[in-house]
Amino acid sequence: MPILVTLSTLLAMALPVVAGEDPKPDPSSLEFFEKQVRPLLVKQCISCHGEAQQFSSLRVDSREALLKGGNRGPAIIPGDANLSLFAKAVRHEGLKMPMGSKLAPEEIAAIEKWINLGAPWPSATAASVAAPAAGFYEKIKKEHWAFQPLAMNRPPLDKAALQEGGTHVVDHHIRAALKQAGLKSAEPADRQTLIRRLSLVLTGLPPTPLEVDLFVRDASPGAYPRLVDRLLASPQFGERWARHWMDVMRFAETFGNDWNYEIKGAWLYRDYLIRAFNQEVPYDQLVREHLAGDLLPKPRLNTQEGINESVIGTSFVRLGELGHDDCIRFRQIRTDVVDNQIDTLGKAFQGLTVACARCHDHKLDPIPTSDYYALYGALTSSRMVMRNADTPDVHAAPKQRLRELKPLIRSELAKQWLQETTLMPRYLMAAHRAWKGLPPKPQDLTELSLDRIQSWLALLEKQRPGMEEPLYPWIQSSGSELAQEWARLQSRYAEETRDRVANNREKFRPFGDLARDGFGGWHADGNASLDGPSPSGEFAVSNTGPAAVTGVFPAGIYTHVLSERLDAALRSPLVPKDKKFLSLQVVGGRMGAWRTILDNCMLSEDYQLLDSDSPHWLKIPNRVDQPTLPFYVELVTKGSNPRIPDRPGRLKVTQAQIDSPYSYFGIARAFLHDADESPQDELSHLAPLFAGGAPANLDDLAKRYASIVRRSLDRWVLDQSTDEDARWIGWLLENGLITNLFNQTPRLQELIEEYRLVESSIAAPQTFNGLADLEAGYDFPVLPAGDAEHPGKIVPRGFLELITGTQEGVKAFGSGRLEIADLIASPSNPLTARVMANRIWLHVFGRGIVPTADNFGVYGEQPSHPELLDALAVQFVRDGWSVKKQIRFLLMSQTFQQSSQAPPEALASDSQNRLLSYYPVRRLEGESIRDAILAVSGRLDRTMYGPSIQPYREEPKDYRKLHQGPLDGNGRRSIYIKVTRHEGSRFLDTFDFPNPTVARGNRDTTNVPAQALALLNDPFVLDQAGVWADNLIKAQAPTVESRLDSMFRTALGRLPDDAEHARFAELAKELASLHKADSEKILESREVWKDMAHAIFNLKEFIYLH
Amino acid sequence: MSHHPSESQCPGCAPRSLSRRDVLKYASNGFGLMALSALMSDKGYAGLAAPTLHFKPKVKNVIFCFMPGGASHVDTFDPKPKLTELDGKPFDGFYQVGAKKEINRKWVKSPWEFKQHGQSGIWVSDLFPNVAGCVDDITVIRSMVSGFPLHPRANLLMHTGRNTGGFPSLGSWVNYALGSENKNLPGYVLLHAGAVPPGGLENFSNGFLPATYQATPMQADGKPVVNIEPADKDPQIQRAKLDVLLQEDRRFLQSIRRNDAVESAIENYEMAYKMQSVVPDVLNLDKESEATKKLYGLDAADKNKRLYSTQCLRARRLIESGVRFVEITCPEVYGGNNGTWDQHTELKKGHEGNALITDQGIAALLKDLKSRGLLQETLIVWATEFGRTPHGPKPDCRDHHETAFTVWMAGGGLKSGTVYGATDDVGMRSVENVTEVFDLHATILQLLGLDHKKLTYRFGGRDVSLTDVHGNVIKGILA
Repeated sequence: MPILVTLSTLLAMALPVVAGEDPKPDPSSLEFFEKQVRPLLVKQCISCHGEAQQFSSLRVDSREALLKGGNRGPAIIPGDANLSLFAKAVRHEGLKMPMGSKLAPEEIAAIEKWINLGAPWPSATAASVAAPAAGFYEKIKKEHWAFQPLAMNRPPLDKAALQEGGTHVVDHHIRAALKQAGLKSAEPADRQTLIRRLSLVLTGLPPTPLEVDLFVRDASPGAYPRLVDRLLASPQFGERWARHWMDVMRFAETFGNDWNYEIKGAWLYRDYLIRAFNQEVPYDQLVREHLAGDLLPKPRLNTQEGINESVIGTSFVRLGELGHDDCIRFRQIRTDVVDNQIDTLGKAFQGLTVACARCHDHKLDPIPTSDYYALYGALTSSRMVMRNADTPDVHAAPKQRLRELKPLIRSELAKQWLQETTLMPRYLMAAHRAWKGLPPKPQDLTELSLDRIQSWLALLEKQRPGMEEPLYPWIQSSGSELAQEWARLQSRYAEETRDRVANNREKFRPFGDLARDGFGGWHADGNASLDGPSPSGEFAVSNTGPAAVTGVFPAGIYTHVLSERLDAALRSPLVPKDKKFLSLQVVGGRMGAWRTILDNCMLSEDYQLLDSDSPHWLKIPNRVDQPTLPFYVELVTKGSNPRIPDRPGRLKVTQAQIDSPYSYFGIARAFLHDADESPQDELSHLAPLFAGGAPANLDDLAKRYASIVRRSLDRWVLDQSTDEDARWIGWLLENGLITNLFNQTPRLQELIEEYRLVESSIAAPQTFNGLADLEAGYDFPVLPAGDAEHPGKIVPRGFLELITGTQEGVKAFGSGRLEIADLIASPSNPLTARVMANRIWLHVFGRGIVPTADNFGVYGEQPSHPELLDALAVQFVRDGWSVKKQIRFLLMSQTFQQSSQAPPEALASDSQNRLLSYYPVRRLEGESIRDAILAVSGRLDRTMYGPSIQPYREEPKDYRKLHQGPLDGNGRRSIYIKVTRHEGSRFLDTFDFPNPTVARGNRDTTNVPAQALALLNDPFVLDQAGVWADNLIKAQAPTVESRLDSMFRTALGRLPDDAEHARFAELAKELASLHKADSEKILESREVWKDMAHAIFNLKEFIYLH
Repeated sequence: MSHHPSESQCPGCAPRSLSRRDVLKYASNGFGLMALSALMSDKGYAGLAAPTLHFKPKVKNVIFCFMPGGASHVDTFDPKPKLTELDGKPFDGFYQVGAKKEINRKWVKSPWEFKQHGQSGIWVSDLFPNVAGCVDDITVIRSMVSGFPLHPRANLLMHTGRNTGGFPSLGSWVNYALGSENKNLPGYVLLHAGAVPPGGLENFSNGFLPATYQATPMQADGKPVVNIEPADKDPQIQRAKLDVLLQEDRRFLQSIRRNDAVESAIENYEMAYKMQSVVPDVLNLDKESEATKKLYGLDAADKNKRLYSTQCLRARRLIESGVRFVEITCPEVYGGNNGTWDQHTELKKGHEGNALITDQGIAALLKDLKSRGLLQETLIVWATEFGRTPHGPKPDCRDHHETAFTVWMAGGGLKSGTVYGATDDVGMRSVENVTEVFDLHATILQLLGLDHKKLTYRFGGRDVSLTDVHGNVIKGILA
């Protein structure tokens, strides 16, 4: 597009219109149409020439219809009212319209003017039009600038133009436009201004006096590029530029809504961005990671930190608002969540308002509703789950050592336990005698432990019902007629076993054989030892307290096989809806939990903590009430439970339990069933008891028990246990029938102490809210008018037809996100590179070439320098999508390096400086103001990364996760201050910190008295003025003048001039007198210098980038 | 930059540039526009719509008395004798639309007696003896419905017209359109006593409107406004700093030649300086007569009542001083974290307590404004986010109820002493003149002289309005 046209658009001048052509409607003429002409048409004409009736075959309810005309020929000739029949008719020349009356002269004039303007008609905005007319989208696709392919094969620089206009492509385009407007660039900025500007743009921090001096004194030609490179390479670069992107990602760390739950691990995403911008990760790679970082064949592994970087990118999808509702009673709660995801995705990566197509086809951009629901299908086909970002080899060394120690512990324990079995028959008999009120044997009193007898006795006295209880046969057979009783028992057991096995087989359908078949279709995440199920006899070493082990388990999946510090999530396949219940045989503790998730409602109330080391059945109702919505169950450790920390009172746990690093679960079996009961015990562990005929007497039976245990332990030590063996050992442990002390032998103590030491070195898991593709994916119906209660036709999941050129959708197994990522991160996508090149420009120059950074659609603003934007986009792709290279390129232009002093002509003719005849002055973002204050006061702590610092609050509300933070944020940069929905940092909010709800590429920069009040009176500012004063006094400047020099250099990057010297010295004197400070010792007065520092913080020059 | 306030309606229309001075002239002394004029970001993304009046306004200010938690309609302004008959009998309907059928719920009669009051004979329960004395000045809407029986969503809907966060509050829209009449006071003030209703400060947020339009919270107790108290205890110290700042800032301005934003930022310091004395002065009730203080209940024994009454009297002083929109929220005494009126248990105790805290102050506000001739140019809105179920799992408790609830309004342009709309005979559903929150919003804007369809702001690719695609002005209550 020629620059002339762009300029005239910007200046809202009418476009030159050639009759008959359909011009690109000019916004102001469109407005004229809407205000002056459309109402006339509706009121005066439509009833006879509209949808209902078409007198003379004429319709006037679209531009096309007017062009086509009726029986008398075309009704309008755009650009010429005199020739237009329509204008003649309303003038009552020949035809007299409307029938029976004449329009007012100004109304006639309006119609004439409109035709003369070219009859602009925003057809897509016609309110009554449900779907755009056929061909409408095709036309926009062909005509709208942003949808045209990037000319990748064109040389980026026009050589001839270069020689004429300058040496840099930016300057060439900028100056050409300036020349058109009769303007010139400003003079180059001085070096002090330049380094301050560069430093703020690249790092968000002011330069130190030393940095300024070095640069100002370095007269060599390479000084400037060296400075640029140094700043680009500084770690603070990533902190600054990550934050720009976080605005677009509506980054927040709590979910808002009722309880403002934590978005656990959101800070990992912030750190991921900082590292990515610093390490120059190509933008197309970042796009792929955001859309499908979990699906990349070769994820980016950060071996130093033990982080899978790529997978963290998907966090962005999960940063929107979220409530704990189950989304069923009100379906809109769920569709709102996905809507926000689509909205963010569309604006961020494509500069398109895709979400406008939620209820109806997009009225301006070529985005049909089917596109919206194609994306909806893709996003909802992925599960919204907690992910673990640890690399597979994280904690490899400690895990290896734990694996080595475990068999040693096992054999040491087994040795002890086997020894104990020799006394077992005597214990059982002693307990039996006590139970029956018989006198004890004297040697039992001296040789046996009373505690152990009590443990056995307790079991007998309790007489637990249930034939699966190991002592049930004992209790039943304690009479005198042992042989007959035994025979009866034997046949009862045989019969019962048969019945139970048959019952289980008939009524229970395995839902994945977790113990023996991989994960049986279940999906594991986390860094716990989930590389496969454990065989029977798996045990867990107790990591605290006197116990040696927490349990011995049947074959299954256990997260604490090595350590309860490791985290895990185990997710079922989508639950088929043909059965009413599912039953899981589980263990778990320390806030390990089971949860159910319906239709991806991730904060569901439907979860409970697990609290038992003995395998037991959980019976969970299936959501048969929701036949079409995806439903699954998951087991999670605390770190992978998005609900923890929960709202107050929901869980009966202490803060210490929440803070503890431990959590675990295990699962052995899962079944689906209709019966309102869990599977029955099949009594197989008791079969050996009945083998070999009736015992001769109770002594004999007691020995039989002991020998079963012995055989179990023999197999256990060889790692050849059966589930039955594990059952027996687990039973002994659970009931205190064998010794379970970590220090029962010196050798065991040594082993377990080492085990515990090694285990304690395992760091907390890095879990975050991400995505996972765990099933084939499914397509979603269009919801006409956005109404989730009345779904329409199903559309294949996929991406925008505008980009793919087809409605077929992606063919992938799973969500199709990886395919969508490739469609976005492609040089042939006309939007991706343009949108990002524009964002980069925006943050370098304060305003985008396309001012609407998130909207490149028809409704967005036109680019001020379209050819330049395309050249930059092409170069961006050619430079390997390097953000740093692009920034560097812009910084090398004279346009960036020019002064911020506005040439008088520019103030007159381009008051908004859209043509960049001088470097635009703008207020720093709140973060930079706060960071600059910290930097200048000397309080700035440059520590990077890690969990966020709570913002300082007047009134913390812990129950809504609005906790109190330190006044100075521990001196950390603002990017590390926690972004909490409901109430954020008050100081940052005052300076237009964006509401983290929707993508926000353009920040507001308001100018309100509250900002003056904050800088004058906010305790943070005062506190930092005090810190600066202390540091100034410590530095012991010899004179007031030299101290002023130092203050100016630190805060403003320049020395004060004479007038300023005088002014501030006078202020110091006045303050000294007001504070009644000793004027001889003025340099030592904290009060005076705190006030002086405070005054400097309030300088406009301090908070403006210029 | 600013857009010409009158050129704003059409999609994609290019704004005409205005100098800051033009805007100042245009905006007369409006605080909101003053600040707008200083908007320096190139706001191509977010265009400004029409801060002009669309109609002749009936009122200038709004005082929004919000009853968070869900004040029961059948216990306040919507008497249901049938409920007394049904009391204790099993309720066998559906608890809420779309919900599973609840078992073991029973009808719950109102524990309070209803009587007719005033010439109009409007029924009010014994909960509000003072407001009952003013019924001839109020307009009761008994047929409200909301979207969700969930506090945060319903609160957000009542405040922002949306059930999710991120949208501007009604008060923000009003100020965006009209500005404040006092440049030394913010245009939208939230008077509170420490509690924030569910949904958080997003209820009072400017959303995507410039930050100027967010509510300024003012607390009843202790330091009322953040950062308003001068950090410099000695006024001469602050003045000394400000004098030097002014000289320095002018120097900076000259060095860049001219910049509207910097210029405005400089002027803001003078305004901020004045606000430090004006705001505390407006909030200070010392100069009010003893009779007035007594009228509002500032002498009440109950501390929370005193706090609420303080805020009612402050509300009057604020609107007298030109503040456009004042919201008063309730102290959180009975309802826990989910809003004051959220009586799932102890309905009698909770509603009685809340009524005691609020009744006298609100009635005093009505009487006081009326006697000063201000009621005609003010709109008082008494609203809650939803009603309460006419039934419950046990006596003395009610749950959330979005299909019927009551709000009332008083002030200029309304048919006072009337009741609009009706619920069915048990208060389950609004059945006559069903009124949505959007309708309420549209009507409030209309009374202020604003067309809810025309008051828009360009954001995220479209011209967004408070009522979105909804809302009809409630013609039946307009005088």
